[in-house]
Amino acid sequence: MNILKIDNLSKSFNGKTVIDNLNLTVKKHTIYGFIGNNGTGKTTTMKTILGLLKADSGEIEVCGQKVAFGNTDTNSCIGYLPDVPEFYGYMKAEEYLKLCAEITNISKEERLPRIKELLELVGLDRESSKIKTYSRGMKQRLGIAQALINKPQLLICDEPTSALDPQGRSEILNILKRITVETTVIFSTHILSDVERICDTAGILHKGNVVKEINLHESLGDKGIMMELSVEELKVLGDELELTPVSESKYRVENQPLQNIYKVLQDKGVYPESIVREKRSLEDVYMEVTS
Amino acid sequence: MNQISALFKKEAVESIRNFKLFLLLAVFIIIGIISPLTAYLMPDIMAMVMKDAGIKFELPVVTAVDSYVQFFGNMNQLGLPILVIVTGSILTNEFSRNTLINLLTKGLKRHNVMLVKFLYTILMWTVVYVFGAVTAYLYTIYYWENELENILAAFGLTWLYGIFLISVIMMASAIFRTSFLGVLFTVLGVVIIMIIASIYPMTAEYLPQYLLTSNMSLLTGETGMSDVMPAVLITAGASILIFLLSIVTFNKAVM
Repeated sequence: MNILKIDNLSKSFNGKTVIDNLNLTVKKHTIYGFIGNNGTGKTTTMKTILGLLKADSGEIEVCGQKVAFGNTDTNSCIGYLPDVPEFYGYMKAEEYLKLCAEITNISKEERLPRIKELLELVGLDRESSKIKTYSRGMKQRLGIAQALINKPQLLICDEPTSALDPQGRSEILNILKRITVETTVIFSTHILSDVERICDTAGILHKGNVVKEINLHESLGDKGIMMELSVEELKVLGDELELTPVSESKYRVENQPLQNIYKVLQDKGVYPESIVREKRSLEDVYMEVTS
Repeated sequence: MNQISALFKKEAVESIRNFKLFLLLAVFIIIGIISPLTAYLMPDIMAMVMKDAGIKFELPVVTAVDSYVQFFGNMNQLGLPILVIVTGSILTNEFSRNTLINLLTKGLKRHNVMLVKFLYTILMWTVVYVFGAVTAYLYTIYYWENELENILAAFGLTWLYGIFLISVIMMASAIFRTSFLGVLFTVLGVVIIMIIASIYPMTAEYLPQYLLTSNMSLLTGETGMSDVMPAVLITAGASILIFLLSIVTFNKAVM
């Protein structure tokens, strides 16, 4: 079951195409990593899904309803975390969440328990100071809490970890991972390790379109066999194996079965310091697709 | 309704915690105090100046009318500009700090944002203006012990003009969004255009600017309510129309 469906979405700014016939579907209760370089259209796509930007052409469906520019009803089932969430600094976290709860028509009885639950989830339940005193990481956590106030079916996060230190990043990723029981998460980033860590699917956005979708539960394939060889061993091996230098003493053999490599090494009497099967990373796939 | 009441509360808390309400209250109460006081002390001040300069001059008798001349003069030159400066950022701050994004993406209707901002600014203006006007009125009675006809109507004209300025602020904010200076220059531009248009007798009586020049003539009985009614109706109609246009503009805005 899809929670988001984008058909042939296009958007230009001053004649420059930012999104070009983009098609995308996201399944319920998954985490979808939307990756791409700066300026590839990640934020534009997200803002169009939220009805904050008007598409030139194409259709977007969220929770089975079509998105309309401006006052879109689909936002009632969406939560949004901007890259730098901004709040009213004179309020406390609880007051801000109360405002959000009232705006999203959460009943009076449900408001306080929901706010308490969210403040605990993001670790701000003991915080009594005003938001203007918060660190970047605390604001980001409050950003998640406000985005989840209406129990959204879809949570859209725009580069939620890009400006955080490693600890802050880790906290945000853990929270995102925890909420997928109730919510589907789309998050854009250019930090590929974050995507590998928590996402089910990654979509690579390049030149305004999703050029590749990757199931991150499946292997991305082997990159090759990495060996650590001395200069003498290298001379002995000669041209028997197609070795690609990687670093000073490390060499990679690509597209060769492991048995063949072992056989050659045994025949030549070469016993490398280490032999490792190298898996392809998301970064490898990303570089292949976008270069 | 939930959205409107929630936003209204937010605006109230904001104006209190950012001291905007207190600042305006202080300014308008000070205007209310110093206007009658200045009129009351004027003969003594003038007498001292004349005596020092060695000029013989018969000072006119100061009345309650002079107190209101001072009040409306201070209101036009000080009160209204401060109102525009303090409330002119009510929307531009939200746009420049992106604070509305979180709320709009929760299904908050854009027209509710505009409606609440407009109504709350009018409420704030009404409260501070009433405080200023009542203060001036009480001091005037205290010093001169006589009441003037049409005093409520005279006060009402400046109040209505303030609402007109607020509607212009809303429109300018919807157009310029992040630029507070854009809002200030738009209000200034509108006022200057009205002042220029007031030179022509054909148009003068139909402009919002006429309200500011009529409150004293209403008090002295030179003009009656029927004379200012066209300007009152046009100002009220223009305020509503400009506000509705600001909603249409904001609805089309890309965030």
